[in-house]
Amino acid sequence: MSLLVEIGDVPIQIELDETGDRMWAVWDEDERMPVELHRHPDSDLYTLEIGNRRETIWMARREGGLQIHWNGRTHDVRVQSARVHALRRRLHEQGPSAGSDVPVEAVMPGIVTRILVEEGQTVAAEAGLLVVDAMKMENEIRAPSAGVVGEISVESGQEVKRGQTLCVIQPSQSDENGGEAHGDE
Amino acid sequence: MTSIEKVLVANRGEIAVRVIRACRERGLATVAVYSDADRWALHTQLADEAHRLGPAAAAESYLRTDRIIEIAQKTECDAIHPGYGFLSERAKFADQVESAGLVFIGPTGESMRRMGDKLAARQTAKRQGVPTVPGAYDPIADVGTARNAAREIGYPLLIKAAAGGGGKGMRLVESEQQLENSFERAVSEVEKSFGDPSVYLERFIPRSKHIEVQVLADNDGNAIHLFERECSVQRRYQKLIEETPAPLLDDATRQEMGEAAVAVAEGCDYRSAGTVEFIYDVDADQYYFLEMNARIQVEHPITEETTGVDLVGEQLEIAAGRPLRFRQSEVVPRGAAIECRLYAEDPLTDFLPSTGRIEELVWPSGPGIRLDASVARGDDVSPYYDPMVAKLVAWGPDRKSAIRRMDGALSETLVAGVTTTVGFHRRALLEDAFRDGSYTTDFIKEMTEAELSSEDLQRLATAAALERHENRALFLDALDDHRDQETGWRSRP
Repeated sequence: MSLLVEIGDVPIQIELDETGDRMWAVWDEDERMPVELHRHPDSDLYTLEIGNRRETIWMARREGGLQIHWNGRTHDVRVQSARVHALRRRLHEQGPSAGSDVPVEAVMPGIVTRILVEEGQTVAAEAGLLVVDAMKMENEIRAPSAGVVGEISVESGQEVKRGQTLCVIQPSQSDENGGEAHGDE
Repeated sequence: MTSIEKVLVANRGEIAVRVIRACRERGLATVAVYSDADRWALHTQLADEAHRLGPAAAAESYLRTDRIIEIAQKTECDAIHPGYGFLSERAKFADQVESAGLVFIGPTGESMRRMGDKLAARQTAKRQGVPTVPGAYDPIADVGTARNAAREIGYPLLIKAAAGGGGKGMRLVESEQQLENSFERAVSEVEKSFGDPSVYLERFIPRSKHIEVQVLADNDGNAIHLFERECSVQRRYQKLIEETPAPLLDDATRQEMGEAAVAVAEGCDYRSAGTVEFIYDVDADQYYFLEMNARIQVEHPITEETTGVDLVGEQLEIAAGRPLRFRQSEVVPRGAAIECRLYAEDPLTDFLPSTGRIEELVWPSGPGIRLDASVARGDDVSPYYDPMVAKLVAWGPDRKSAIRRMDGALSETLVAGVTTTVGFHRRALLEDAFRDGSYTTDFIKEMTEAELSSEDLQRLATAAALERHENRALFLDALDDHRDQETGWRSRP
């Protein structure tokens, strides 16, 4: 699960990976730590364990996100899936007008194994566009919104980096992805 | 001897609680007063009785001298303890209390007047042979006089209000060119703020420490000192960290300053607990009398921890007319103590108050740890009063261990819902200038910027991500997380 956490206005990308019976946090490719969160009964206090270090924090759900208190400061924190965030940012940057291209990016480095659509093809929101393989897993990249497939900038067998544009979608007029974007907390 | 059996505490917050505890120990009954904002505050619960003063605004509650005296009489109190702030240094209130037939637990109105006028205080100190900051001893009436005086004093200098104090009504002048303009503005400002346009000039001391000496004096003119506190960690003249003993003070100077403080107290016929403040010029290695605070101070607990003297308790004894119960030679400080004032303020926004509800409270404990607080979980940090939520004090057999205990206690402290100075204190204790004791009143300005480290950010991000994972059923877009994890990624056939 790839998440974008905004602490005040500082964005932090984090991946949670449930492998075995442990949860791991991955901050970038080399940094990976076992993590655990324990909620104290009947309170908003938590013990947060990162590696072997434990700390008591306070955390409460508030309108628009979370409040986290640690080391004397109360922070306003928002969490969203990295995909939804990327989509929102594009909508914000380019405006919601139909026809402007929305790039579809690789969320992890890997190899493009299959391309499921053709340029000019009309797709529904969430339709599969390409498949990227990484670490013996395959990831189907889906359309962020309904629209028309624009330029496909990769080919089958190509190695891609995280964040690299794979193809673009020109969203259709009646933007069906509104629900998803608004579904964010 | 006056018999005191019942005390009205004319204050709120931790100091009201502190006074109530001291009374309780001595078997004295207590009466709390409160504003609407403090209806259920801790001091109202600990006192034997609680009486309403009025609305939240201090002018309509804690500053209502008429109501306070009326309640004291109605409830048959013998004495009023003013705490610090509010009415504690209002000479007229002290007089009113006494003429109502009650004991004012503090100095007489007359002593307060002599110390409240900063010029009169300077004159008293000078008369007692105590060094004062080079400058004027009489009010300066016009720019011409100011210019002549300034040539003698030298620049940079400060224009100060006779009625000021505690950093209020001060203006820095760097050169003669600035003097005329600054002088006129200072006079009109000072008149507006204090109703008295008297100003004087004093040499500005660029690198200084703030060191003060605790005194106790009885009704018979006996005065002793209880050694010093260093309070140089300040911003806008508000202290944040105090410690005793002052780390770099040599014993001879410590002795001399103690004696100077006693001389000042004697010079104004002081009684009760008071504090003589000095400015210590680091470059010239010289101390000067600054002013006297005619009240119990916020930072009194560190002196209590090292001397073993209950200062509020002694105030009660003195108010009852008893002579000092120990001699100077019997006051022997032991170890070191530090106080960190926890304010609901954000150090990252230049210590702006951070109002809000205290959602959760976890207080520290352990050897050498003392906490003077009055807030409870669920309390609002009200914009009406001082935003201090607690005073955390650590004592240790030496300074190093006191600092370590303090750091540990701060790490255990959690006041959630508002931003406090807890993080600031932890960073401050790590600064070289604090560790080696060389810090001056510019310490906070010179501290390294407090930014969240990448480790801090990762910690917060992890907490937020895990919380979301635990509650993933709550989010529409968590479907998206789910797909990433289970549908999008699957084992390659």
